[in-house]
Amino acid sequence: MRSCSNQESERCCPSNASARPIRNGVHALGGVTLEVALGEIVAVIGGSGCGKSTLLRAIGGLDPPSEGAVVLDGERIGAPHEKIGIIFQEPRLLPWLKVADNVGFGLGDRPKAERAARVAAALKRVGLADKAAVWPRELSGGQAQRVAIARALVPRPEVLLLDEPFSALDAFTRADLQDHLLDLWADAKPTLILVTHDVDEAIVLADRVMVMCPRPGRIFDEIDVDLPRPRDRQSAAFDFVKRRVLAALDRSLNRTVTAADAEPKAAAGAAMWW
Amino acid sequence: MTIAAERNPAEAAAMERAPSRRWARLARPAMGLLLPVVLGAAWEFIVRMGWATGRLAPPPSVIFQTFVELAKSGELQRHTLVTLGRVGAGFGIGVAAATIIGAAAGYSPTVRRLIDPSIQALRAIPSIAWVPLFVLWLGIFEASKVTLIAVGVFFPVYLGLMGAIQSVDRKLVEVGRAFRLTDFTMVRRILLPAVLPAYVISLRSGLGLGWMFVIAAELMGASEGLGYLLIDGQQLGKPAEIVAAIVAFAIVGKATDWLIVLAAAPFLRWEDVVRQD
Repeated sequence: MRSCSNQESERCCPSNASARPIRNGVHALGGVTLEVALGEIVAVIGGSGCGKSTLLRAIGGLDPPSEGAVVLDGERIGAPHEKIGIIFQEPRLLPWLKVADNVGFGLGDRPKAERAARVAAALKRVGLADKAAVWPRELSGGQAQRVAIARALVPRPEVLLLDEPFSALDAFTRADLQDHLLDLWADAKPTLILVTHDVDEAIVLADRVMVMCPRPGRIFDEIDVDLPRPRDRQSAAFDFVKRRVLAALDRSLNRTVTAADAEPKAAAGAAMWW
Repeated sequence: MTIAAERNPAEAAAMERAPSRRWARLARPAMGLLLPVVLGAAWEFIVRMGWATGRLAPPPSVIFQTFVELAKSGELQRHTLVTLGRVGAGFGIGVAAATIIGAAAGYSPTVRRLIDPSIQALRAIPSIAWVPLFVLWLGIFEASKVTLIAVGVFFPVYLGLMGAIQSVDRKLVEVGRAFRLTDFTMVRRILLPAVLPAYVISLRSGLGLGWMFVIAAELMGASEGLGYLLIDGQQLGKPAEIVAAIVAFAIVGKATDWLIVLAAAPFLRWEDVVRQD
C-alpha cells in the first residue's frame, strides 16, 4: 500500500476497502475487482467521471492505486512493465524521430538488425511501410494512431491497454481501425483492455463489456458478448447486445429505462446515452 | 453541367514567371541589406554635400578606407581573431556548464530548489561588476576575460534549458514512462530532443551576451582585440577606427550567430511550427 494520488482500487483480491481519508482528493475508484483471462478482450465503458481511465492507468502502472493491487501472472504491477503496452488517446509520437524510429522506440536494447527487421514487419502489418522515413507531422490522424499501435505492439506485449484510442478520429477511420486492431490482435492474441465511450466499438471488439458507474467509480454490470467474429454491426444480434449495454449504462447513471425505450429506435439518437 | 479543367490564362502567365521565383529567393536576404545600405548611402551623400562635417560620425567611405588600412597592416585580422578566440573559449565553457547544470535543475526538483535561488541571485549582478573581482582573482590576462565571457554565456543558456525542460509536454514524458526509461535515458531520449529548439535559441542568446561581455573584458586592460581597438581609437582621437571596430563587431557577431543557426538547422527539420526559413 502506498500513499499516492487519490484512488483506491483492487484487482484480483476481493475485499471491502475502508476508505482512507484523503484530503482534497477525488475518490476515483471505490473498490474494483476485475479478473481478465489471457487473450481476452475486455471493454470498459461508462459515464464521464466513472474512473475508467484511472483504472486503466492503475493497471498499466502509470498511477498505482493507493489501496489494493494489480497482479499480472502472480507478479504485482506497481510501475510500467515490459509485458504491458499502452496506447493513448493521442498518438503521442515523438516529433523528432521519423516513423521507423518511433516504432522502434521500445526496442532500444536490441541489436540494430533485429530492430530494423521487427520495425519493418510492424509497419508492413499496419499498412504504412511506405511511411517509414517520414516525419510524424506529415501523417494524418489515423496514420499516426496506426504508428502508435505498431509502436506498442512491436515489443510483443502480453497485455495491451488502450485508453480511448480512436475517439479523436472520424467515424470512417474509427471503424477501419477497429477492424484493423482485431486483425492485429489475431496475430499474437494479447490480452486487450480497452476503455471507450463508443458502445459500437466496445461490442465490435470485446468478449466482455464492463459497465462502470461514477462517484465513486466501480463496476456496475458485466455483459458478455457471445457473437462470433467478424461481427456485423448491422445484425440483429449485435443490436440486441447493444441495447443491453445501453440499458445498463442508463441504469448505471440512475436513469429509468421504460419499456418504450427498450425497443430499438430508428434514429441515431439511441447511441447517445449521456 | 460540365466541369472543365482547363488552364486559365492567369495560371499560364504564372507558370511562365517561374524563373522569377529564383530571383525571389535571392531577394529575401538582400532585403536585410537594404536598410543599412540605404542609411549608409544617405549619410555619405549628406557628408559629400557638405551639410555635415563627418568628423565625429565618419561616412561609409572613410570607414571603408580605415578597414582597408587595418587589413593591409594585418591589424584587423589580429584583433578580430583574438577577440573571436576569447568569445569562443568563453562560449564553450559557459555552454558546457550551463547545459549540465540547467539539465539537472530542469529535471530534478531537489537540485533546482538547492541551486536555482543562488543562480538567480548571481544572474542579477551586472557584467561590469564582475570585472574587478575576476581581475583580482585571475589576473589581467586571458583567464579573467574568458571567465567573464563564460559567466555571461552561462545564465541565458541555463535559464533557457531549465525552463524548456520544465515545459516539455507531459504526454511525451508519459510515453517514456510507459517504455520504462531510466532517469538518464529519459533525459537523453525524450527531454533533450524535445527542448532542442528552445536550447538553440538560448545558445544564440548566450552568444549575444558573450559578445557583450567581451567588450567589458577588453575595455579594462587589454592589449589586443576589437575592444582594445575601440579604446585605441578613442584615445588617439580616431573616430573612424572606433566605428570600424564597432562594424567589425557587428559583422563577426552576426556571422557567429548565423553559424549556430546553420549548424542547428538539420537537427530541427522535424519541427511543426509557423516559422519558415
